[in-house]
Amino acid sequence: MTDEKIQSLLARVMVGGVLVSGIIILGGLTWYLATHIGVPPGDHVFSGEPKYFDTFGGMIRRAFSWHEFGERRSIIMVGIVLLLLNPIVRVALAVAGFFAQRDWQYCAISALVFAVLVFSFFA
Amino acid sequence: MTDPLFAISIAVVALFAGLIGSLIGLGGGVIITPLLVLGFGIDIRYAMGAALVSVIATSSGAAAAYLRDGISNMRIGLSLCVATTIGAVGGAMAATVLPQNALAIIFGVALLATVALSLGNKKPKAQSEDKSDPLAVKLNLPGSFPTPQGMQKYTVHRFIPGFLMMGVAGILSGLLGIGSGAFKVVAMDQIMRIPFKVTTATSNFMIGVTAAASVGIYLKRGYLDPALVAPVSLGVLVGAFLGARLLAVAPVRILKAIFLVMVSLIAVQMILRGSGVSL
Repeated sequence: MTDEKIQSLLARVMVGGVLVSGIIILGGLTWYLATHIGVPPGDHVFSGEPKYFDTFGGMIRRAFSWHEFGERRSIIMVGIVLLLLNPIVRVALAVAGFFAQRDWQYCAISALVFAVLVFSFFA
Repeated sequence: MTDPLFAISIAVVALFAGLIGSLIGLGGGVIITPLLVLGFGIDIRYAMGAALVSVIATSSGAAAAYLRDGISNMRIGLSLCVATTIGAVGGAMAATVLPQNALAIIFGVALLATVALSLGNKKPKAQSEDKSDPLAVKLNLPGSFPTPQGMQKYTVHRFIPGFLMMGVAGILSGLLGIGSGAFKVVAMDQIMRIPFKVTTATSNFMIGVTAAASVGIYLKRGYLDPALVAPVSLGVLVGAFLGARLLAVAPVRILKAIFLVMVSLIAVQMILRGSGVSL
């Protein structure tokens, strides 16, 4: 795989990822707002978000538990997390691309960046 | 945040932030946070979380275009991302312990610095004859980029100072929930003397990766309110897209002057707010 091939693959993944997550976020937001007309905003005081937003599994479960009417926000959250995964996937693809090129130096450098990202999400 | 009207007004403001940001070459993230704090009274931590997500959205879109054109240098981007991501993790951890007022003051100062940096001169440097830093050569960083006259080679200088500056950019990104693109540009353009086109393109690639390193920590600390993140990131994304289109037809110099003054005033407001002075 050449540098150009890696780059154009990355570009496609990036644009596609942004579009898909944007659509999920928009859909989730619309639905969420439609069910919350007249509820006053509550962002002026910081209280932290619920713990179940911690894990991707928790978000997905919430997003698809239809009987929990108040948790439409989870759908938005799934879109947001997809968006956040975008740069991480970007780096993972770079690791794979440099591996395919047998460029061990850059394979290691991008793996290091990947490790920092994974650490920040899961540690 | 819940009321639909409130969400819509935030989306509109975010759209303008994204538009202005892309017109004057700042990220939308650094403009939207003070607007949310000063204009809507939103807690700065929620505002930073929403802004950081919007930074990832816009940088992914912009970086894709540059990658396809072959202007950005992935090796430069990734090797410097080691510094920015580690800095960002540190910055995000610091953000979780600093009081709100301190964050507002640091934000205002960083915003003023960003404005000052964007006023700096960007004339292309003649540098094809000189030699690259040996470390940069070892890291295989020098490259070439497409110009109307064909592929042009460039050299890369002072890797270690550039790398350290990138660490600072990373800390600011994590601490304030911004892309800190202006600081990344300083490291690559001023310190490492990489051609400006390559610098801006590579910086876009790096901004998203850097932001991703702190957003996980924001997420765990509960800074990401979905109902706020959604209108902010969608608004900024659409605004940045429109801004990129407008760039070709708008009177950019005048707009830039007006908006830079506006942004400076906002920055001063943030500092005053953080110091407990109310106007």
